[in-house]
Amino acid sequence: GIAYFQQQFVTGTVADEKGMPLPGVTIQVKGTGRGTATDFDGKYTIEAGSNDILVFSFLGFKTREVRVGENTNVDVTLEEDLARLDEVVVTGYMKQKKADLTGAVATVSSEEVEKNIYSNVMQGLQGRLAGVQVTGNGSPAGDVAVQIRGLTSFRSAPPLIVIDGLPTNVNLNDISPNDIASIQVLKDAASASIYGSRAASGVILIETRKGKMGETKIDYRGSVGISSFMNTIDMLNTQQYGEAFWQAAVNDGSDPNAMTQIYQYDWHTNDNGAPVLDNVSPIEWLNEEQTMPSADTDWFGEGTRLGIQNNHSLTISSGSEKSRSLFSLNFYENQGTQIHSFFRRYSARFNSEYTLFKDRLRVGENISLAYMNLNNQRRTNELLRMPAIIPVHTLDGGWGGTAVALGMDDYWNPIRQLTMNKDNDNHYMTLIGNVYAELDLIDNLSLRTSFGLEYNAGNFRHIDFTWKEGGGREDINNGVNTGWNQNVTKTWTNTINYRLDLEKHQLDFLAGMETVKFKLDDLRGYRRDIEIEDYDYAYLNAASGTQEVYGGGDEWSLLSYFSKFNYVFDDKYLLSATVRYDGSSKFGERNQFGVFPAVSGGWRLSQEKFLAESTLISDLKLRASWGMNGNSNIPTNALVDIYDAAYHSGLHGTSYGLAGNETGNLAYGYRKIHTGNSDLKWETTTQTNIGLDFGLFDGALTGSVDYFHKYTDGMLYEPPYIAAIGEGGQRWINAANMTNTGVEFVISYFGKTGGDFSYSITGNISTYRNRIDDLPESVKYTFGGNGLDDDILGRPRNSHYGFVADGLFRTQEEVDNSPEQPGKGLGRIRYKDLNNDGRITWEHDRTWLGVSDPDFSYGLNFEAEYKNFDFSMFWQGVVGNTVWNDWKTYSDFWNVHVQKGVNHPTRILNAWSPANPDSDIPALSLINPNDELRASTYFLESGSYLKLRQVEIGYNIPESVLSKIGVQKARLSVSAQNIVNIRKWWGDDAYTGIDPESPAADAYVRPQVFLFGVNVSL
Amino acid sequence: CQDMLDVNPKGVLTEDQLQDPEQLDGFVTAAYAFMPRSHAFETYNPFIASLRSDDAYKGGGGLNDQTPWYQMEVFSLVNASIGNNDNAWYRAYQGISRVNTAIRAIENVSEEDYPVKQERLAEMRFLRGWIHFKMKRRWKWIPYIDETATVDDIPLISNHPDDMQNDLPLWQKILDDFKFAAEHLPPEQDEVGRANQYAAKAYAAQVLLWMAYPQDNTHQVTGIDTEKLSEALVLVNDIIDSGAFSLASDFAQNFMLEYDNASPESLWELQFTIDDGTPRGNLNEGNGLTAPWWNPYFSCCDFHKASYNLVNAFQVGDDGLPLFDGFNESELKGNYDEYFSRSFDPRLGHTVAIPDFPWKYQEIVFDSTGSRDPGIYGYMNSLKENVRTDSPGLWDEFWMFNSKNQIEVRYAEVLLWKAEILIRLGRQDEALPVINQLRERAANSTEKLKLPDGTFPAEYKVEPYVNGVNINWNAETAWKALVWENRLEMAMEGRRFYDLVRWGIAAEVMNAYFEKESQRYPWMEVAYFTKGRDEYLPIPQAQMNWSKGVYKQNPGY
Repeated sequence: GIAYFQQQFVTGTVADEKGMPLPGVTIQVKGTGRGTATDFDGKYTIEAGSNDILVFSFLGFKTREVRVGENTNVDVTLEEDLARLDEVVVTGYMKQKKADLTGAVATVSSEEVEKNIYSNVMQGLQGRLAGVQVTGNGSPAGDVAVQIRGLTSFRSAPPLIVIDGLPTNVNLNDISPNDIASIQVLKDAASASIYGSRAASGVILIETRKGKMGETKIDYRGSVGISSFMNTIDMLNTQQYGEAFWQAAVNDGSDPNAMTQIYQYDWHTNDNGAPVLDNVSPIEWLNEEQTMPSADTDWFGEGTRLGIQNNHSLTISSGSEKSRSLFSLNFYENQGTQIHSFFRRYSARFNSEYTLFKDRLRVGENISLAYMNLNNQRRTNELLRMPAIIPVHTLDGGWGGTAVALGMDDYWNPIRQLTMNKDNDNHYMTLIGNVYAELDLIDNLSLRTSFGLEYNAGNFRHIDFTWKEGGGREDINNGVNTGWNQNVTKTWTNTINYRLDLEKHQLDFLAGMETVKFKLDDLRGYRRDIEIEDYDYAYLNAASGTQEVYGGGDEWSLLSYFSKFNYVFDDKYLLSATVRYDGSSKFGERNQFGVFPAVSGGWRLSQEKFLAESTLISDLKLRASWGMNGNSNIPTNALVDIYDAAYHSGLHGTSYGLAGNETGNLAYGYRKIHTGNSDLKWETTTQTNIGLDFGLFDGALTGSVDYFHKYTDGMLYEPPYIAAIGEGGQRWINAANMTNTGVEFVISYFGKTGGDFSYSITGNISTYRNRIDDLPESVKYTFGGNGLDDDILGRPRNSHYGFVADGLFRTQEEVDNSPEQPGKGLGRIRYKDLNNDGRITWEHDRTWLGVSDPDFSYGLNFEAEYKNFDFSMFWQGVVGNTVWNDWKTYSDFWNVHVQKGVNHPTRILNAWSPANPDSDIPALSLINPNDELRASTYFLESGSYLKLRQVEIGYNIPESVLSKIGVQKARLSVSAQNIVNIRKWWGDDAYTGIDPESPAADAYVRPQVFLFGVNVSL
Repeated sequence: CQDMLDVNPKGVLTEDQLQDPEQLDGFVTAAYAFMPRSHAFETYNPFIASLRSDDAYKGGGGLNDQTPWYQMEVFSLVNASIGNNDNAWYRAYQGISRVNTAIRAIENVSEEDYPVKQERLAEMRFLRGWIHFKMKRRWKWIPYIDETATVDDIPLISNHPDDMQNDLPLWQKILDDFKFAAEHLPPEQDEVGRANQYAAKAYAAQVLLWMAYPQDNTHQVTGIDTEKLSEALVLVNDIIDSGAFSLASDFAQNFMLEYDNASPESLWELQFTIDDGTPRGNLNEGNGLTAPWWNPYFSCCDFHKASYNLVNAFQVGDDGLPLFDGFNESELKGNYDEYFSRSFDPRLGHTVAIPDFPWKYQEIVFDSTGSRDPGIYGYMNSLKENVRTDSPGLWDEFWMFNSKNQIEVRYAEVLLWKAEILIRLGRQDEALPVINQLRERAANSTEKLKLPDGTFPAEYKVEPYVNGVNINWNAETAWKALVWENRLEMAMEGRRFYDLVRWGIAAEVMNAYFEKESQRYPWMEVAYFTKGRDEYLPIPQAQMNWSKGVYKQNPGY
């Protein structure tokens, strides 16, 4: 039917969530050309029918649609939305509308940061940003490595972190995520090149939270939780270990009873000549004193625990026309999943800004102060490999330990080590801040000066304890080891900013200069012999034995000039150019300065007439950029030949007892440390980026695609050198070139089903290929290759090289008819004779076996809201990488490590034997003549994984309840991390270890975390 | 503003700060300081050569504890990429670069400004010869680097130039260094750590002894150069006739910390010190693994175990002479008490630590718990490089380092060279008394071998050779006796393997050893010495790669 719509005048007020009226909000009647805007008091009037839909849109806020209905007064509250196109983002030294960006910039909204409960904000961003690779581990400090768009250089610096405009060297563990309002990651060269010589690895811009005009707010965010390992490995118990040992010995043709003193075997050979184990009995006592009986210890269980996490933040912010301030406190504690390990951070932040002289001058500061306390003990590998037969404690209350007198190898009791070192922790302090002044000289011209200081200090005082273990191992020496270090970076930045808005022309121009000075000092002392092993006593002064003192320093400085201009015509055509001229103390006079230019352009097709009417496409922008960045990540003395006296006993010491004295002072001299290269210069990375941003269905579906090509030229590299050159021959050179190319794709869908339910899905997927284009001739084979004709050129840096394992020898016939391979035998690994010369050789039978870079990395975020409930979950994964499963050297081989007699996982019980002929695990053996530890496909497995990183359910207590108690907002939440971990468990390249994300045998695997959280705003 | 980019390096010296003549001695000292520091895993220490001979097994915690040495010990598993090969090469050239730096610096000053100029140059050339010599024995073909080679020249210097028909020209360069040193060094040094004239002569003689057995391109000895032998004899006689050295009255004095720089038998020794202002002391880093696995005395690591073959070689007959034929028939395994009811040359007690025998002349008796992996390596430890359990030179860092000096040339060795030369020159009758000097000294060296109760753990016996009485002394028997004497006198001191190669009998001796020893230890079945290959280690693959084709790999690798 046809409806009749009554036209009427609708009026109302548009305000933000705090009730502040919003002037300049655009209001359109959907499907018509009619529109208006709110006045200074946020009021509007528009003609609309009762069935019409009003669309309210405003920069920085979520667009809202409201059906007019029977009302003639429609008051609307707009929600802030930093993630949308209208968002203003901070780019190098200035702010820009996101819509006007022409480079590749990934942004993280405050909401995403808010859900980040990690100690290090980057850890929570793993997989959320296309092209930003975050790797971390489960240690309580949450250290991460961040790599943007592949491996940029052999000597990559970490991405430059800029906090509130201040370039820093900060470790993000030191910054409370609670204080972070937004994060921008500058991925392409054009965006980053304003930071010049420090930007080759990309730039991470962080804005901290600020006080807002017209509000006074007290905000508490807190969470408590637990972390633990859900998937532990089944290790051999005492009985199983004995059985496997017997199997290994009989496989070798050795008499098991002659090969161990720990177990006694009754066994015989059956009619078929096969050995049969009748009984295995562990020795009763592991020491002569009979205080250490054979045990059956679950070492991993003994050394791990439920870790408690605490994160509490209190933020007070307030703002008026003349001043805005924010004060926040944070306490973060993460007890490690290993006993006696922890990270604690106490931090405070003071951000304020004053507006003076008729709004012409703004003066302010952003200062953060953090004190950290860390005990990062890690004994994962020791806990796993300690044989179960050893008890943690002796019967008389001492420490258990390996029975060395019975031929056991020397592994220290990891529980003893973790326990004794529980108070040997480290302390750090970080102060980061800047003070600034910004003056509007004339209407469009402003000057800004900012002085920043970063101060990091660390100290520790560790007792080196005496100890004794029941197996006989002891350390009779004690001492105290103490150290202190500090570094200071002073950064002074001055910029001038000119802005012009002329109808269709919009111009921004910036010029500036910056100086950076870094200085470091450290001091460490060790002294033996302390009377009492007590922290109140154990200072260097109190120790009486031999002493060692070490200390050093470092310094570098930068002097830079830069300029940038952005031009927008008619909201359609975007052009931007930057140049930075950077000088560094690290380079010689000839090459002290480097120039880093960039240009970029954009075309907002959606603003063109031919698309303006499109109901499908609401936003479409094509971007292209080109630029150069630098890398100066080398030590400060690379230019000159340097020597030192080295009066010490180390490998490079120069002291010698020429006089024939047994004790007392020695003659000494000088040795060369390093060869200088006065021609050294920047390494440059040139990057081209082409991107497309789109919004469809009125912005419900948005996304972007980026392609990049990054070429790193003249990489700073200190190659290994031919030994005949001698000591101190290492020298930095500009050599080796590398290319990274890749594609990144991000897509988001904001869905609203009507009613109270809304949801969004965001996915990203990215890929890159790394290729070494050129290497100095002398190091062509350093990264793999046979030294003759096969090298890594044209391949990714992270390529594996080695033999191809071709299953096991299963019959004597196979052994006899196979190519010559020293150490081959039944149940041993057969290697492929790649050149068919009848011999397995290191020259001709190794090849390229895969790459540890993934084919694709992806992340998938799902969020939903229903009434007062919200739900989110985030999945992250990688596909198609080949990783070296280091743990396999324990799970598949009895005795290939330097230390023998370690414990193994139960997987090893399934090893090949004549009785178990189908197994792919090599026969157990006490020896390794076949050299099976050699690099081969046997250890290479799929590194693909998919993990449920985060799942969270939140409940907002209704306002009706809160208003009675004077609370604005209160939210309760429960969340969990890493609770679903999927790896490739099928096929030839199945991952057989614990976690393909952490394939090292001593990896600190990420724990599962369960949290309960509260947010309250007053 | 530009000034702010002028930042000086911190905590180091630049070349222009090191130009004073007073600093020259610093470069000389640094050169001396280098080689003794060869670290445990990159070492030139005697025990690495010892475990490649029939004297010793690698030891430690099983075959995979320092796998590269296992590979070297069984020979068949060696390839150019194995570990513990490249670093030894690399570190040697670090030492050589220190020497050449010192030589260049010294040559820049006049004798007036630096009166010890010639003497210091001689010391440096001694060290240069010495390091090249150590390398030459290992790899045969090495690039010889002198002070004239610049950083740009060095990568172009081949280890095995095409125009070199054999390795004699390489030996000649090393010989020239030692000869220069012998001409310019004083007979005695106030600072005993410095090289003296006799040490230089001893090394020159040793180089000549290698040159006297020229090798073809597959390492096979092609003949004997009696001229070179005669040349060496002159040098050896110089040392002996100087009267500056004599055999120590007790064999033990060569292996005790208490006799550092005090054995009359020492021509030159590496200096190790403790409590010397450095954190740990300048200890013998290379021997940090060779103490037994023996609570509570030593925590680590039981490397360098005497072979059953070696222990058997110490057996003597009723006549006090070695069991030349069939010495290796006796079985120790599971036959312990009966085995040690035999008679042995007393040097066994100084060389090998045996359960129920005293440890290093102490009242403490060694026992079977000192062996870490007896199923693989047995119960016999090495004694010579080790110290008393209560030694003031012992540094317990889990690895057991000690500050006992290491005698690089012993007078006994000089006597053995003399005997060898005489026999090779057909003057074996003159060699007889020389060899007997060593046997008589051995006979007199039993005092320190007694158990706490004053008895001997086994019967010690050694008699001199008496022509026509206990031996028919001719060229053949004299050679046999010399080879045997060399082994017993210098056992576990890292001389044996190089002697076998020099004489051209390594393949034959080693394969006979493997054949018998693999019946005692199954892990030795893989062992095989390939004639023409295994006399030398491969040029490390890393160096082959970096040389861009300038280096030539040794045959067979």
